[in-house]
Amino acid sequence: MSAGIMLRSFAAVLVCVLGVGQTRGETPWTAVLTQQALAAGYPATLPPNLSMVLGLATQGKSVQVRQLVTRAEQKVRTFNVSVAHHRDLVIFFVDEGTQATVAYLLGPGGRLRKAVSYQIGAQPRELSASEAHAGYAAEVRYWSGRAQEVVPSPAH
Amino acid sequence: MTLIAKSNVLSGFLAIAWSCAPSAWAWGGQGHRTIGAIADRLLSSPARAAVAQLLSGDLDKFGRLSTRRTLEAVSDWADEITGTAAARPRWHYDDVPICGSAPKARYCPDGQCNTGQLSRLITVLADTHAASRDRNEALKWVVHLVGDIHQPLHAADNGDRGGNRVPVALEGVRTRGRENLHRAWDTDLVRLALHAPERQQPPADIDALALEASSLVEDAGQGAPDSWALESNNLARNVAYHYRGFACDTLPLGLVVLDQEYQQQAEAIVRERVLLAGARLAALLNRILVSGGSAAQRSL
Repeated sequence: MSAGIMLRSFAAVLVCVLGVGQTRGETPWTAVLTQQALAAGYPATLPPNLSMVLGLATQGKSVQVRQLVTRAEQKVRTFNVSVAHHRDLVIFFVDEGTQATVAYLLGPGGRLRKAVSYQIGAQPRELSASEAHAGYAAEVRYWSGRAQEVVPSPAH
Repeated sequence: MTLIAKSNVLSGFLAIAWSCAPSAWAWGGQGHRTIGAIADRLLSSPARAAVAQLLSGDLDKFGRLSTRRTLEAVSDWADEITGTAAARPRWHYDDVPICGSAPKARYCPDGQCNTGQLSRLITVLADTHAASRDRNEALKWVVHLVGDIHQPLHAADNGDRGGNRVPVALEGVRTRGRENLHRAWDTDLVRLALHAPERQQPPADIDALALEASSLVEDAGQGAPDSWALESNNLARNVAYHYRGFACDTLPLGLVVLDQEYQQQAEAIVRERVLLAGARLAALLNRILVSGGSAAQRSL
């Protein structure tokens, strides 16, 4: 076997071992929206008590974010990216009719890390995974659809 | 023949049978029955009466009169007829690529795909002048295909037959033999998401699920077959195919382990898709079975 062939084989194996695990054919929806929020989102602040319950800040500290906002009648959704840590993503779903808010802390791939429910003026309550599932699925459907509209799939 | 020899023969036979078994191509019985059961509970009185009328002369796959009178009971008829002349395997899915895009004519030639047929069958079902047998079969197909197109992997493909060629194992979950990505979404994740131990039946809290489904569709919107497929494809891109080792147009090198994080996200999505499918099916039938064909045209 020539040195060239060996080198190419080695390179191919290296690509398989190192590269495949990181390859994504499409940009995840969270990455698309993160980019959009950082580029054109509104500057906003997450409340200190919520930031603490989500594990994003110590007591009394708020978290600066860039925010995408949508509204449908009395339902408001926001997608928030921490300015200091772009991998910390928080989605809010606010029902203005009932004043109920649910916040979902996501990882970069969109996986749920924590969910918190609260009423304005009351203490936040962390939701169990089973309690958070239904609302979380709705947010993934909504925001991943929005990301798809923002960046159409490239021709393949 | 000794017991051990018999056992070996049996194992060999099972292995061959397994390797020749057709790939999964629909929610399993539990998913379809749950969707049907949710829709049954959300039908208006006139629509329920119309369904009962349409199913009054229903035939089973052998052409004998059946006793099935509910959407739940007929929800997996389209799978039961597999292997008969009435089967239409291409109608169960849209092979929409998850990497890049393709014109519909490529993955739905001559309308031979889920959304192409679903639109046509809705029109047949809504046509009160159509033959009753045609409307009966159209109803059974519509019930099934609305369910199917809400399964993300029924509107997605990565050169792997909608995940059928991706071998997977679900971390911490005991499954029946060899699994693939599509089958996991059809059955295992449904069972986990609905917390229903009985594989072929809807869960015990079906009334509560129907109530939740009804409010869910208010948020998600009713939509139409093409938008349902788009939602599913989007969820396939972002959730179902979001496993370690994924690459466009490439089969994984080995077994893909779907870890707990993946399962948690997938279960949430599966649960919502089943609920949405049931509520949207009911809303569709409430509209077209009461007001007829003109409403069906508007809904599409």
